[in-house]
Amino acid sequence: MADTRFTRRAAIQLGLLIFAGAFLAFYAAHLSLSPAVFQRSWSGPFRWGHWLGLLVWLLVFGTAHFQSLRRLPDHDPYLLPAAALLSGWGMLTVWSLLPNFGMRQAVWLAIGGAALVLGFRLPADLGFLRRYKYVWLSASLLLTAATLLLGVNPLGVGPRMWLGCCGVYFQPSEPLKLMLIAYLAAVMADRQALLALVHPLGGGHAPGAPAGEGWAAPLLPLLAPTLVMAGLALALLGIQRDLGTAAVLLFLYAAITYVTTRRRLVLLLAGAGVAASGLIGYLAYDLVRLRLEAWLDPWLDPSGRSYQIVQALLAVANGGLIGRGPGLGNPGVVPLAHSDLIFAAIAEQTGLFGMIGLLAALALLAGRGLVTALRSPDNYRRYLAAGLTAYLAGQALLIVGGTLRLFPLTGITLPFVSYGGSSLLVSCLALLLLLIVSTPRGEWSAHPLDARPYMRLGLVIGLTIAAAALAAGWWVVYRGPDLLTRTDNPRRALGDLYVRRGSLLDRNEHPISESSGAPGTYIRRVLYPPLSIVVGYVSPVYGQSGLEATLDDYLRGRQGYPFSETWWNQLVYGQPPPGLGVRLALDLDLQARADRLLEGQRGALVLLNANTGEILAMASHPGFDANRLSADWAELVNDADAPLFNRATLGRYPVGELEQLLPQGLAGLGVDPTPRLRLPTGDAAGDLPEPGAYSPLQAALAAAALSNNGIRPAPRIVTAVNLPGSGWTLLPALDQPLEVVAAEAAQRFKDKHAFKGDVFWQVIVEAGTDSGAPLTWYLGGALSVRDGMPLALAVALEDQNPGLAERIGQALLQP
Amino acid sequence: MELAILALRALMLAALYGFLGWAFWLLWQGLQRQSQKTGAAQLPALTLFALDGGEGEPQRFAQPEISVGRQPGSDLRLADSAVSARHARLTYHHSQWWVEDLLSRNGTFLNGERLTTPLVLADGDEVRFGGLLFRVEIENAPALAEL
Repeated sequence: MADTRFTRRAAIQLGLLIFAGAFLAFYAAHLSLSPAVFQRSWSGPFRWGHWLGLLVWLLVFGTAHFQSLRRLPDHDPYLLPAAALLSGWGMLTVWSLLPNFGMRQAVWLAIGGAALVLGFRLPADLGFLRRYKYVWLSASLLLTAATLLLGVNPLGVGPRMWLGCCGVYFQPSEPLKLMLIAYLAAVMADRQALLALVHPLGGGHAPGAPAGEGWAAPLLPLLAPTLVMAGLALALLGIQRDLGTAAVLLFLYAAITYVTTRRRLVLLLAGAGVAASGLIGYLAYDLVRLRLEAWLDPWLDPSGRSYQIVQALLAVANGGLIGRGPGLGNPGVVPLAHSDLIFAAIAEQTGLFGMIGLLAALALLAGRGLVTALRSPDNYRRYLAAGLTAYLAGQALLIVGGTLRLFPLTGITLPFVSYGGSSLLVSCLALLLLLIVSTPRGEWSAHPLDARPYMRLGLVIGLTIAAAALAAGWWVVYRGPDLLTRTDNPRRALGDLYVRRGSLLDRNEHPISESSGAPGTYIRRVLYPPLSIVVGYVSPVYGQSGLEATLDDYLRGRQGYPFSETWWNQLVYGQPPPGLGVRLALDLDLQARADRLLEGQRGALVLLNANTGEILAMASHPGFDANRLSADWAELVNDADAPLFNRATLGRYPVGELEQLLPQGLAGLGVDPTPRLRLPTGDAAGDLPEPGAYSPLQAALAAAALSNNGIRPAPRIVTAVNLPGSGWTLLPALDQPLEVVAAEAAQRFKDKHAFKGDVFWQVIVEAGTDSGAPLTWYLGGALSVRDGMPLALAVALEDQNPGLAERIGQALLQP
Repeated sequence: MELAILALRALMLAALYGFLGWAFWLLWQGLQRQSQKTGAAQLPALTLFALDGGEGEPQRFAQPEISVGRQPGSDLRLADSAVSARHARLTYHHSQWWVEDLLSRNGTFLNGERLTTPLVLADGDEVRFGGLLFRVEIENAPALAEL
């Protein structure tokens, strides 16, 4: 007994364990390098802590390997390596997300491993489990019931499903699943005579005879005691709102009843039961309704009710084919990525290949579990093995499917993989029982075996795994590129911490907005805060606005690089190359003058070069400071003066008499709709047009058309981008200049309104709105475009103050 | 740095798929061996000869499970009032034919003994279902030593 014979099976188990160990070692090595990769330097910090976890893994499964050969000779050699792969993978993934939790998971792995190795000494017939079936199940039920009174939640909030003290927590609903399997297997095995009666007849061998359910005995007398116990367990979980576990129990019950009775009626009843409980849950539990709605249409409320599933899908999409690599990417943004939703983290780190690999490992585990059931020496152990397989595969697929939006998301763990002591320990116990049952003992089976229900159970599991793999492919390949551009994908903004975002410069290359700091702590600052309303902000919390939003692709290095460079950076770092600088048409001196003039007022102005259309200053008051966004946000969004609203481009002010003063009116000067600009101008589809009301930008363009001999210029706020290799490259205007009025008509207008020594013209109009809000317009421009920088200006002042409007206008137009 | 990172990632996936590929290849091989073995092992056909005036021809079965009873759909259908609807079944497993009573009212008898547990059938045994007696013939019955 003591010798560990080197059999074929022992060689298979050892070989597979070595492969699993190699996988984990490469994973750990990559994880060690990951902080340096984030910094893009060899010297950067490295992570070493998780190697301790790998050492624990090595000790646990090394011991389990040799002890299993000694105690359970010729047991199934695939089960242990599959479980080892999954548990090691899970532990390292947890470690990559939350090192503290990884350490605890390693401790639990050691405890689970110890239980496994000690359990190898259990008697082969598992009589203790079979004989005292009611004791075990009742104890589990009582423990679960105790959580109703004494339950806690280690996180402090949420359902109180744990029992615990002194920092160690235990979830009794985990062993409840195991005990229910043992109980059901024992009851069914004890009732063979009744079972034989309910079997459908003959296996359909008789030619022409219909399948035999019609003649079989009714199921109820056979199932009555199990229905009571299972119903009790379900009721407890229902009260506790542990609905994921309840779903797993339902599946388990159906699977075991089906393979024992071989009646398809059971499947129909179970299907009806799931539908009915789903309906009841939908009506009775907010949680179920929420989950079902988030499943059916997650895009409806992606930041609220379906936040978790949307973030999980974004993680899957971000993983791509081969993943961002262990320790890279941002899987931590998915809520509960270390426990229930660990599959999302695995997807992001190892990609589609990793997901398919994990599903294949599950398939291996499930397949060997069913083979163990088929080869069992007696019915009790056969049913037990089938039930354990159904438990491991069913629970795994329910949460994997939930993560991939194949099923509604339920709060259960991925066996072996997820963080959680109870889950890992119970998974280890399930593995232990399977290993014991799989050990051949030279016993005869006294019972005939109909393999078909087991094959069908295997088929269901296999098809679900295939469906999950297809769903993974769908999200990665088909929907992925689309998903990643969503604005609620926090990865882009988080990437700004590690990749330097391009600077925004004024026309003289003075920085307006730039990122400073070191990789990992880059901070975006607007150096001239009054321009915040034009430049906008970029924040993981508040999103993007202004030029930061419209120029995002250049500023984040997603545009402007050769494709190969972007692709390579994405492959290696999961991030784009450093962002490109963009030069604006704005002139900081003129801008500062404009802001000083509008200080304390409500209104907006646009100053531009009448000839080229370059916007030299754009001010909207009151404004905000993008550097203080998190401090001021609540105040800003509730402010009646709308400081986040760019009045210069989006505001619509009635022009009143201006329409009569200008030749052809404003609309006739080619400014309605606003010529396209790299900023939102309020003319997009869906914006309500306001007749007779124009933005200061539109008015300024009208003024420019008059100054520019009747040719309305194409407005430009961005002039050039600093491309790698070729340097500053001009960005053309989005629109074309347009001849809108005869040069003579423009000249007549300018002559009529010329002011002060023929340098510029001006018109001032008081245009109060119907509702009585006061308003003053100032329009002005250069008389000629021959020399210097011909200016054109529009000021809208939300005040009845022509004097102030004139002062502002003249201060900006005077050379 | 970049190449080292990519190499680690590639090696990681290679190890993962090495694990899976090897495991499934081994299983595939095992399956093939198994099917060759089972293909070679023939199921010994079982024939039932009606004795003491029972009706009809001898019935030969070459399937692993034979249901016996009065109800339609039984492999061996016995229209006799002393036979229960689902009376008994004969099954082949572990290289032997077994007979098992399904709690029939009038019992199943092997060589005159009423069955309480499933028993192994041998060539030449006599089986009685209720009132109907049959002789069992098993083709190329395996030698007992083989068991």
